[in-house]
Amino acid sequence: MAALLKASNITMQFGGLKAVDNVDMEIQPGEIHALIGPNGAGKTTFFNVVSGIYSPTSGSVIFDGEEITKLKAYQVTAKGITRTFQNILLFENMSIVENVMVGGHTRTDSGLVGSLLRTGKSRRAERECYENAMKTLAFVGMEELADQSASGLPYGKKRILEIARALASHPKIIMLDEPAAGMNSTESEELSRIIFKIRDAGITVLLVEHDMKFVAGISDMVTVLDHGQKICEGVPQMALNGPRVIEAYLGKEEEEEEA
Amino acid sequence: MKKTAKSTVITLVVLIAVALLAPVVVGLKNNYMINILCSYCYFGILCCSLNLLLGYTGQISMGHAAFMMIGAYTYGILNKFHGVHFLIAALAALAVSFAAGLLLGAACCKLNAIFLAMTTVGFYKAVSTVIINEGWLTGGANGISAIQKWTVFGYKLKNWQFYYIALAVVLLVFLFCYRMVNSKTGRAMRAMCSAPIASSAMGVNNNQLKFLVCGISGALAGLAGVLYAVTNSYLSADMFAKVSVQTLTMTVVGGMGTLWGPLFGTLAITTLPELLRPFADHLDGIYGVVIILTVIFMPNGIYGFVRRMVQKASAKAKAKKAQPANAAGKKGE
Amino acid sequence: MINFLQALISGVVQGSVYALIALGYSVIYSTLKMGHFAQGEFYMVGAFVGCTLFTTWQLPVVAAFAGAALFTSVLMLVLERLAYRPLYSRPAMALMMATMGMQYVVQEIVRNIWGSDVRRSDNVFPDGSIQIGGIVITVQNILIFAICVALMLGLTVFMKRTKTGIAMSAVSMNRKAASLMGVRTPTIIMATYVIAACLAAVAGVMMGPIYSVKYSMGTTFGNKAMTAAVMGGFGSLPGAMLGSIILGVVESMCNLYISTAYKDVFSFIILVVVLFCRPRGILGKKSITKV
Repeated sequence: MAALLKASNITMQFGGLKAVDNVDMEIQPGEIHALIGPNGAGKTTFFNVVSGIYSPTSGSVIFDGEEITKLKAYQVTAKGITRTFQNILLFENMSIVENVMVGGHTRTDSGLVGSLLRTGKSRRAERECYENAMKTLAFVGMEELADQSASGLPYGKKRILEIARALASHPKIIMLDEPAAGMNSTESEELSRIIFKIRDAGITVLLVEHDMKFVAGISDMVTVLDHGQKICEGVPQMALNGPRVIEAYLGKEEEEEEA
Repeated sequence: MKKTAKSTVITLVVLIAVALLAPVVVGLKNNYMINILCSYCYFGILCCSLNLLLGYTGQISMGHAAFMMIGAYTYGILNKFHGVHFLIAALAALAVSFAAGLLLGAACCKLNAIFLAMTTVGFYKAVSTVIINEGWLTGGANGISAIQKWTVFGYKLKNWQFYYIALAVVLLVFLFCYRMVNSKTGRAMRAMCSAPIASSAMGVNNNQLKFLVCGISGALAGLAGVLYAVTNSYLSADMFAKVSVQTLTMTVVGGMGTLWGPLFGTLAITTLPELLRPFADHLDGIYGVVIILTVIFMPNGIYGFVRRMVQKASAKAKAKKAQPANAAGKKGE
Repeated sequence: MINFLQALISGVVQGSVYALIALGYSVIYSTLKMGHFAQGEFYMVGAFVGCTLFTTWQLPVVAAFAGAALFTSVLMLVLERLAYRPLYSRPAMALMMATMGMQYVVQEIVRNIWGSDVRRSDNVFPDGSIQIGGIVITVQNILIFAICVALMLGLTVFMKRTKTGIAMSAVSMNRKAASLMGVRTPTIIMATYVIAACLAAVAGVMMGPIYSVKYSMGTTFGNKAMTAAVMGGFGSLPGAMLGSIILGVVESMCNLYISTAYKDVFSFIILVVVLFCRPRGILGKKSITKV
C-alpha cells in the first residue's frame, strides 16, 4: 500500500547544529505511528518540518502523492495535515467553541464581503462551521463547555481542546505533540480512547510521546530518534526494547557502573 | 450562536434616539455644538478603525492620524483644488488611505511591538512633513481652506443636516465592525492576535490577514478624515498633531477588543476637553493623569468596568430573589 | 569636502547626545521589557533644572549637572512608584499607555514649576574653537563628545564589571530566575531608572543652551532617540549608541545635501530600510519562540 506521508532524507540544520539528520519516515494510512526519543532528539523539529513551520535544509515530504516540502504552515493544513503543540497554544481570548471553529477555518466557505452583507451563503457557512465545531466537541466529550472561555480550562482539558481544534478541519493526518504530557492516569486513559476513536474515524495519527507505557499501548508503529538521527523503527515490542533505544534513554551500562 | 441580548438592543435604541435628537436639543443653528456632535462621529469611526487593528488583531499603530490625514487631504485636494465631485473625491480618499494601510500591512508582517510602534510614529512624521512642505500639492503651511459643504440635487446641506449623514456613516461603520468581528475573518483576527503560530497551523494566512486588516483600518481612518474635512471646512497638518495619542487613548480607555469600547472611548475622550473648559491650560496634564488612572484602575476600559458593575448588580438581584423564598421557608418552620 | 567633514563632525556630536537618551530607552527596555515613551521628558527636566542652577542661581557647572541628575532621578523614581509599579504584571499595552500619559504629566509638572515661557540658558561650556584644515571644531563640540563617550564607556564598564550591572543583565534575561538567585529586583529596577534619568539629565543640561529650554523640547528629541535605539536594536546598549551616531550623521547629511525640512522623512526612510533588512535592529537579538 502506498504510504500516506513519505518523508525522505529530512535534514534540518540550525547554524552548526543538525537538529534532524537525514531522517526517513513513512506513515501508512490508518495507522497510529509514534515518534519517540530522549529530549532534544529532534522530534518536535521533525513535526515542525512536516507541518510547514520550518523549511528543511534538505529532503522532501510527500503527502498523498503530492510534494509539500516547500509549503507554508497554513497551506499544509489546507492539504489535510493538522497538529497540536507541545506547549499548549490555544486561543485564550476566545471561547471553546470559537477555538474549534478556527480549527475549521480551511473548511469554512465564507468570505469577508459575504459576511459583511450577510448573504445566504455566508450565513449557511457560519452555521455549518458552528455545527461542525459542536460535533467535534461532542466527539471528544466537551460539548457542554462550548461557550466557556478557553483560558479557564484545567490543563488536561486544554490538551483535549487542542486535539478537537485540530480535528475540526477533517484532516487526513493529525500530528499530536506530547498529548499526554502532564496528564494523570485517568486522563491518559481518556486520551487513548479518543486517539482510538480518531483512528476508527479514518484519520491517521502521528504522535510524539515520552510516556512509554502510553506509546506501547496505543501505537501500531514506532520510530525512534536520537540526536537527530533515526536509530530504530518497528512495532512497539521490538522498538521499545531494542538495545540502542534503551541506551539512548538510559545511557550505556558500563558508564553507569563507572559512575 | 450569538444572539443579541435584549438589554443590548434596548441600549442601542436609546443611544440612537439620543443621537438623533441631539441636534434639536442643542439648537439647529448652534454650529459650534453641531460640529462637536460631528466630531463624535468621525472620532468614533477613527476609534473603530484603530480598535480593529489594535484591539482585535494586536497590531500597534501609534501614528494612526496619518491615515486620517491622508484621507482628509486626498479629499480636500481633489474636491477643493481640482473641483472633483464630493462623492468621487470621498471614494478616492478611501482608496488612497486603503493603499496607505497596505503599506502599514507590509510593516506589520515584518516587525512587531516596539519596532512596529516606532515605524508608525516615523510614518506619521514623514507624511506630516511632506504635507507641510509640498505646498504645490497640499497648500503647505496654509492648508486647504473653504472646503465646500455637500450639495445634494442642488440643495446645499446645512451643518445639522450633514450631522445626520455623519451619524448614518458612523452607525454603518459600527455595523461593519460588528459583522466583521463575528465572521470567519474576525475569528481569524482574534486567533492571530492570541497565538499567531497556532492560527497559521489552523490554516489562517497570517500575512494576508494583516494586509487586509491594515488596509481596512486605513480606509476607515481615511473615511473619518473625509468627514473631518467637510465638517471643519479647513485642513492643515498641525490640526492632526494630537490625534494619534487621542485615538490611542480612546481605544484603550473605551475597552480594547470590544465592540462597545470605541463608543465609550470616543464619548469619554471627546467630551473631556469640553468638560474641562475652565482648566484649558492644564488640559494636557489632566489628560495624561486620566490615561494613567484608567489604565491602572480600569484595565478592561470603561466597557469592562460597566460590564463588571452590571454583572455585580445582576448577581445581587439574583441573590435577593432567592432570599424571600428562604424567609418563607423559615417562617414555615 | 570640507562641508562634508564639518557635517560629519556635527552629526557625530549630535548623535552622541542622542545616544545618552537612547541608552536610557534601551537600558529600561533591556531590564524591564518596556518601552519608556516618557524618557525624552526627563531630558527636558534636566535642561530646566540645569538652567535654573547654572543660569538663574549662578552655581558652578558641576553643581548644575549633579543637581539635574539628582532631581531627575528622584522625580522618575516617584513617578515610577505611582504609575508604573502597579502595571508591571499587566499586558504590555497598559504600561505603554501609562508611559505615554506620563509624557503629558511631566510636561504639566514642569509648566507648573517653571511656567510656559522659553528660557535662555547660559552656555555650560567655554567658548572657543580649533581649526584643522578648513574645519572648525568648537570646544563645545569636543567637550560634549567627550562627556558622552565617557558616560557610554562608564555605563559599559558598569554593566559588565559591577555587581549591580551584572544583576541587571540577569534580570533582563530572566527576572524570576534572577530573583530566585538572590537578586533584589526592586533595587535593580531602581538602578535602571536612575541610570536612565541621569543620562537624560546630563544630556538636557548640555543641550539646553543650544536648543533653548522649553517644555516641548523633550518630545521631539525623545522621539529621535527612541528611533535611534530601535534602529540599533532596542535593548542592546551598543546598538543604542550605534543607532544614535548613525541617526545623527544621517540627519546632518540630510541637512547639508537635501533639505532641513526633510530630515524626519529621511530618518524614517533609513529606519524602514534598516528594519526591513534586520527586523530587530542592527544589533538586536533574535528571539526564538519554542513551538
